[in-house]
Amino acid sequence: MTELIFKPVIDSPLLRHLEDAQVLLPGQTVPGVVIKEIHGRSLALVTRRQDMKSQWGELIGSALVTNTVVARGARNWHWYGPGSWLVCASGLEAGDLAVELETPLGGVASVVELSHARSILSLSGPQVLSALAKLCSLDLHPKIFVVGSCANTTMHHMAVHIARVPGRDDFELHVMRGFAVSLCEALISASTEYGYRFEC
Amino acid sequence: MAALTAARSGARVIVADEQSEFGGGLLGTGIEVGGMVARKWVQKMVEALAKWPEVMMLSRSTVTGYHDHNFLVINERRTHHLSNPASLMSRERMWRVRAKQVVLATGAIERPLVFTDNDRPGVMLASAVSVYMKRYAAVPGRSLVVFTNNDSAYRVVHDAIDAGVVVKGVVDLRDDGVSAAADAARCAGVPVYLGHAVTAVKSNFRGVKRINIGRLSADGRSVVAHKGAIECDVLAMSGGWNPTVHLHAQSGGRPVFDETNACFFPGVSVQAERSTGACAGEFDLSLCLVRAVEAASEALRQVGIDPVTVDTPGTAQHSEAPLRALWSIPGDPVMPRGKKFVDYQNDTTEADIRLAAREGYRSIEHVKRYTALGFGTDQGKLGNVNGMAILADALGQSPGAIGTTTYRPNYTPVTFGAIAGRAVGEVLFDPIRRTPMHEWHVEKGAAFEDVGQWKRPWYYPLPGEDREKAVSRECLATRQSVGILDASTLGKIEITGRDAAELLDRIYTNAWKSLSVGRCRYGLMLGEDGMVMDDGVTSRLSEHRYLMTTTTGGAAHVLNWLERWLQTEWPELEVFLTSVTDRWSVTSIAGPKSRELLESLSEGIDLSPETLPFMSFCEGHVAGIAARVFRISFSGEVAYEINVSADQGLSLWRTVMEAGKPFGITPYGTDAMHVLRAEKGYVIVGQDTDGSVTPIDLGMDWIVSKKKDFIGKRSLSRADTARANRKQLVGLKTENSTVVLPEGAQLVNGFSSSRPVPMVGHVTSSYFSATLGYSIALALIKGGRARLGGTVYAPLLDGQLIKATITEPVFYDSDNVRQRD
Amino acid sequence: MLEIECPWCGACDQSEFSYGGEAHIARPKTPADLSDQEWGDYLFNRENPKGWHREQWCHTAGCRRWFNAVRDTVTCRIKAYYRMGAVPPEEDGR
Repeated sequence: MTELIFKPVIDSPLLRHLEDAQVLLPGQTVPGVVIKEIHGRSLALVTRRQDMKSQWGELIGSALVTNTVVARGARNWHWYGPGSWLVCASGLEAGDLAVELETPLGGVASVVELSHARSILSLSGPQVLSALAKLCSLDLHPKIFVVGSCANTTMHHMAVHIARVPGRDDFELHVMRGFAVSLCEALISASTEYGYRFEC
Repeated sequence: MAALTAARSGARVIVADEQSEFGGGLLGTGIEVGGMVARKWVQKMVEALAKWPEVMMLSRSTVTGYHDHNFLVINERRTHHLSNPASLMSRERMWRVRAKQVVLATGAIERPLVFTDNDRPGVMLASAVSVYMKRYAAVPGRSLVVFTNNDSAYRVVHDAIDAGVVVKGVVDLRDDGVSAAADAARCAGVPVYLGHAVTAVKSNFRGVKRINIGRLSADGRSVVAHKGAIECDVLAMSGGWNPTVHLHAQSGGRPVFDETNACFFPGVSVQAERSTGACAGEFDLSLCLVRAVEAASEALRQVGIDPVTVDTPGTAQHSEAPLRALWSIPGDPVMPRGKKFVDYQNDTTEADIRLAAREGYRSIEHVKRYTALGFGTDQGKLGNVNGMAILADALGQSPGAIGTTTYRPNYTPVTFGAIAGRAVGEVLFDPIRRTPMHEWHVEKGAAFEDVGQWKRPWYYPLPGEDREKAVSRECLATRQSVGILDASTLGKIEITGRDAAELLDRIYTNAWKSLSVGRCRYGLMLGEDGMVMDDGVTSRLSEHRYLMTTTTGGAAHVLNWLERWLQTEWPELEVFLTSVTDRWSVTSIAGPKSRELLESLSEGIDLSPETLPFMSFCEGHVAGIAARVFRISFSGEVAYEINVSADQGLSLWRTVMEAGKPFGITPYGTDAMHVLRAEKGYVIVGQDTDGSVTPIDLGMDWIVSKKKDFIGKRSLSRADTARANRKQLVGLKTENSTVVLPEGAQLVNGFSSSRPVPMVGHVTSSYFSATLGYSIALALIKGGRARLGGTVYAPLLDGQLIKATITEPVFYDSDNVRQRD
Repeated sequence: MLEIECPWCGACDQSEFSYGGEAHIARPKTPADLSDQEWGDYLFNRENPKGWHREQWCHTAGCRRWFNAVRDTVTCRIKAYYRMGAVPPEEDGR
């Protein structure tokens, strides 16, 4: 077998196409919007089997409500559709999350590993709502889209999952990996007038 | 007042005002509100509103569209007024608002009078004259005559006197009668001519010089006596006020004609909106303020908010006497000259509308199109009601019976730039999908092709190569040694669940339950109409887990299609679908040397044909990376599709390129891929099919199961689908083997005296095959399967007639020996 | 742009949804037994009413669920939503 010539590294489409950047307005010290890529996140889509509601309840409980993110230990369960959740974890090897979930859930749910399928962004800053309002038709007012909310929606014609994860003050955006660069370009375009920082 | 009521009650409020300052008509008057000049009062209100954090004040912002379900579009002009705008700011912004409740306070627009010479320089609307003087401190002339049919225009008399302008008189169409406004003007020393009309205007480019006035007959249809001439600079006219019912009408309401005020009022609300103030026909300022609070309170109650009580200030506005609607004012009885303009932008005159009526036009919509009434950029805001009323008069009907034309968005013109927003330029016009290996393709100077939203390498030109040369080189290298293709864009759907195989059986035309784990199968899916919709290879990963691939462009559609059947027709099936297109990168290597190359890189994978035959897959490590290797071929050569996690796709690709150097590994793009597959007669759905092609038309009867039902099967035996002379897929070889037929070229049987010449089919794919040394094409030809060996012609635009022979659609290795090797 | 209430996610803009046409057109159980006329009816013929219309929508960009709505084709008012397989609510005049 030929030796591996290029060591496989965790790669990100953003790292290869965009550079860290900061644009501040005259007199501004803190950028209005901060866009950061979140690395090393493991994802798996869990879909409950229809005839397994009671077994599911015993394993998972019933607190997983429509359009919410619920923390279960170190895992965040994002509602993705009726009977369907995207489970997120940090600090795992790719693929381990699906294995971890398969063990208890194998009989009651379908588990599909998605770690590499999405790019994940964190959005914060004092003007983050103004920037997001340009791209997103959801009402993200803090009294409406409260901490713990999540939704699938579109931004600039791209499918995006948006969440306010409990215990954090940012917006988390998940986008299909192939669209990551385009989404960032749209976010940067929407944020420029407020001053922004971009980190990937 | 409405906004303040809503804000104090705890609602989230947007105040959108078309003008640069808030205040509307109050800015141009000298009226007192709450014991202070109106302008001052407005300023206090704006300051009060700004204190509420949930109130957004948008000036220079026009609500240009009121659409279904309370969806409003606001066009905000952000930098037009700035001499040195911040470069990072957009010039305009389109707000798209879904409002729970809407209060329309859009005011009213003053109506011109239709009289002789009414479009001369210096003839102005009375309110405009006031605004110049009161708001902008500019006098439009030194001497003024007012021509009116109502009380509101008398305000300009006092505004003008305040500004030091000489008011030479008021010509009032109304007959002798008691009018407080007329009395007040007389007290100020201004002559008032009741029951009179302006019959002519003399002017030059500087403005009005002189007007003629005459005494009206009792019915107002003629001038009975010439009264004389008055010298003046400006003629201020007022024909009453048209409530701005546009947004109400756009929301679905139907304005109704009010005889007393001779104008259209808002009708019954269809959406969650209400009009208040002048746009609702309330012209008394004190009452306007009271009604505004009432409107907001009602809106708040509708959404379950208890409105707080808000006091309204008193005003010093007097009640007004009724106007006299005289839609067409007679001119000089002795020397009737000059035109009476109705639409000032399109120069539609009163005579034009009467002509339209004489020509037989009855509907205002038709008259509009015949005369161009209301087609200007003001969309009839000044002239339309006058025009409708004149038509009504000509037809002997009431204006209410004629009705209005349709009020459509946008209220005022909107720039294309504002509509396009950020969706401009290479980067932002349409989102771009990039594969994990995109960077490498860019480095190597690939020309790209857009497939769906994906950027796919089209071909990789070496220095000095054109497209044709590059593609030939890429094809030959693949046939002779090994080529490498980025196939990451193929749609991938993971299908799990107990009934996954049953779903495949119902969706694909062929049988799936017999597919064993580790094997792959090609499938064709049809629409319910029997037409080919998509194709691809599906592999059985484990007992209840399949990986379906789709065409690059069809991925989203296929996922929707499968989900729809599962949810709407077959809820009893337990199947889960997940798009995993972006999760995997796919490096495809093809060619006689591909096995040797892959062997040098693999670990734990036995690539011998016995262990990994054509149409099977295995798992293992390639270049140290966990991989699934599918032995699938779209080129007709031995080929492997190496799937690794997207994050590792580029590393793998680079390693394969390095390891392939001894074999002269050659990257190839979609163009070479198309040539290679066409040589093999493999169709591309969407290129060789167009939604009107069945699998039978493609000669793919072998994949259509006779035993089971599947989507579209019944349609294959419909009379039209089963007829013999349908267009069928065949190959074409040109007589001159270097000539490449243009794709899309129509085909005929030769010269014909009938016109049009009967067309028998068209070319769907066409290339020069470097491997074969001649040009090949695929075509759909009527009854083509029965015409193998026959001749067709492609007449081209430049007069050439290209002769071609109909062949089987497979040009290369028709026994499929190479790919199974 | 309409505002459509997904039975799971609530009111969202129409741009998140895709339209599925007339609802309650069941796929025949045994298509082979149908005449060309009957199959053609299933395939192509729709009511296209002026007024209330029971139709399918899918929250494509959201939870990806299909559901039914009763919409007035003249005013676009939607008066009811119900899930796949549920009994349709009563309709005015039909």
